[in-house]
Amino acid sequence: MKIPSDPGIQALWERACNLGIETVWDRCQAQLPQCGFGELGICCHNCSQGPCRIDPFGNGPRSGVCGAGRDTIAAVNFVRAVAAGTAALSAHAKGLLRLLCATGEGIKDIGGLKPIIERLGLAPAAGPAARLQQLADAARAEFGYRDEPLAWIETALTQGRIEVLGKAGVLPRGIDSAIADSLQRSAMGADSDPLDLLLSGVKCAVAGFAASRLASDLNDVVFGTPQPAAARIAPIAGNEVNIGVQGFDPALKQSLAIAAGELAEEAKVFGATGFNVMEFAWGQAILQELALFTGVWDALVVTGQCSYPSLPGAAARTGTKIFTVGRAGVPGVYQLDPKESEAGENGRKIVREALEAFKARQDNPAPTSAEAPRAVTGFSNSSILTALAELNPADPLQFLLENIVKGRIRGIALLSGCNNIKLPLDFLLMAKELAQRDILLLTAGCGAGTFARHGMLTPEATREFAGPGLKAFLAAAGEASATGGPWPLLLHLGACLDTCRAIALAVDLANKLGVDLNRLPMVVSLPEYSSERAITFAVSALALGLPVHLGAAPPVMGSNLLAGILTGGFKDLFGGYFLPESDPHQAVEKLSDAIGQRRKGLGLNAS
Amino acid sequence: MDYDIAIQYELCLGCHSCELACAVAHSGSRTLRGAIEETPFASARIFVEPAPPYKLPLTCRHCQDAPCVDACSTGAMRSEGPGLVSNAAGTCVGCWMCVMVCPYGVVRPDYRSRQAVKCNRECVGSATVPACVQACPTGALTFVAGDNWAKERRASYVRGFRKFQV
Repeated sequence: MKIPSDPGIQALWERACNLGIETVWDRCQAQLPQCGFGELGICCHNCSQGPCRIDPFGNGPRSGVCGAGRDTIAAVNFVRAVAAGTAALSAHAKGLLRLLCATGEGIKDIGGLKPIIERLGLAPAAGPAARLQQLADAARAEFGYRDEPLAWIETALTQGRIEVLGKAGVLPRGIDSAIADSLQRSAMGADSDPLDLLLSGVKCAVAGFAASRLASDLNDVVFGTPQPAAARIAPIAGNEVNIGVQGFDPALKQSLAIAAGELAEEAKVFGATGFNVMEFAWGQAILQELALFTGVWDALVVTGQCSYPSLPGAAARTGTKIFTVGRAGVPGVYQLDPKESEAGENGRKIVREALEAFKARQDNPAPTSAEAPRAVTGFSNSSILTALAELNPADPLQFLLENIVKGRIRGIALLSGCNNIKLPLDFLLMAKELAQRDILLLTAGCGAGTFARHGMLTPEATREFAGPGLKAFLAAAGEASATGGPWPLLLHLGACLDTCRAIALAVDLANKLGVDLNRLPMVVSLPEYSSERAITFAVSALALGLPVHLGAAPPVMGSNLLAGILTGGFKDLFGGYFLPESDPHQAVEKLSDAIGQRRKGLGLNAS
Repeated sequence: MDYDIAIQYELCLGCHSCELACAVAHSGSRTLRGAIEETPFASARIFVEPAPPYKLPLTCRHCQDAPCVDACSTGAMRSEGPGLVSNAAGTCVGCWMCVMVCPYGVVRPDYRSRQAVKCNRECVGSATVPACVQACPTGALTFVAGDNWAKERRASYVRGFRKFQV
């Protein structure tokens, strides 16, 4: 358990300690040692004849009251975690669907409807209203039970992959149906075959991928496709009214930005240069308590997923008001109306409160932080292609593909996932070593926040750390898209929910190469995974044929059978597998080897 | 009583079941449901500490030449013969000398009652095993006669020795 080493964070941590306020580090320390049965995944509390535990040393019980052995119990727990992760992705997708319907023709990118509808294999209706309806209907049909495979799977993956998933019996028939199936199977006395259970988890994870892919499509038409741009990632103390948002709620974020625009003049009367609505805590969930101690947040909005229950307590000490719109349900915060139609009014309320807090703060100047780092963010599969089209309008992917084939770029790694206080794997070190080996790096989620905070999402980082081939590619792409210098060392795709954008890029590449995803020189790494959503993504990436590095063993190690399947057995079935490795150097080595093997498989120069 | 709680830390998974069972056994109701509603809470006298990569249960060794007994000025802490150091409630005045001299840190001051608290084996009748040992799911805690433990260790050493000779 290390406190991040950068002086800014150390100072905030000391401030919390001096105030006697408990943070995630204190609570983790107090939990030690944590229960080994849970760590190994061999404690079952799913029926009230339990809780039951298996003795991994073989001296005590070998099965639970119902007779479930270690393999079944580990599978049950794992599948339930995947189902919970998919449920979170489903909730996010449904939120965007409601927003699409509520916004109607006011969405940012009406023109974006047609290509999505066409990709789904439908004939676009005439006129924006009818197209909106068409997209909403198609999206709505993904959740409940249906007879056909999901549209956001069938049209979002390679043909070969659909066949592989179909053969393994893991093509979901409805996102929420897949969740329900995993839950009912893993109930006591339902399905006790560990492999069957595991496959149901894989199906559920694939459904999770469909949900996030759907969400990213809806997000892009409602708000417009993200475009690369330089951004500040933390507020600078002093003269701005700062509003932080923790979690995902695009509607509320948008309404905050609008309301901030409306009140900008009023803010100036009180000496503020303007409003600043941004991701709270540098986009890193683990730092959410420490971020409060910067003393510059005038309001904080928590909107579901990874908002610590400890926030209100810490905020009460720093005097920061916290708002939520219902989904987060953190006790002790100001609850606003969760209806989409109220987003505008909610935004105004919060912005007004923030302005009041700003006025009060002027009498009691906050400790200022050092200059906030900047980052170039806002990449997406489509904005990457748009940029590359500048280099080759007829065939945007050609430039990237050529670089991969000639070995100037050896492969692609998605380096993302959570931060985990128990797994302080060195994100920075891994990125530097992978980039040195000319591996193109994509990132998303809290992990991307680490990179942003350390100035790794900048042209300077590219100049300093990229290998020669990668450096040349990023420079050419940066020049073509006029982002001001080379592209950053890692291309930031957004929140953890946006990891599907990396898969979308991979699918385009695989289709262009005429191979399936399991042969693509691409890997995924979640060095500090912690949330159930990350487990869902890891399993889906495995099912889609990619090697997935995890900074710690998945919570199934109490079952040799399951550990063997996830780290090896599934390789034959899906091409993807888990690579648990807690040493960052070794992890880089293994990921690089996996890329080398895949290059060799394609007849490319492996080194 | 010449039985001891033997700790095989390499078998401990850190589930804290021993701590729970100990606290329940020292509670008024002697049930988990009842114990969590009592005031003051009963406290555990065994502690599972992090000792990476191990998890280490620590409890009173009931030393025969016990520093806590030597340090006790009121006679509350008493050696009752092999395998039991007791501390008599009521006699203790809360000077905490025993807390300071215990090499394992398993004697704790209870400031509310001003009594030193430690494993006193009051969780067991003479014929049964302590609550913590009963609760241990992996056998990391066992209740053995000290001499039998030595005998088992000798047997294990002899097995290894013979293998080495062959």
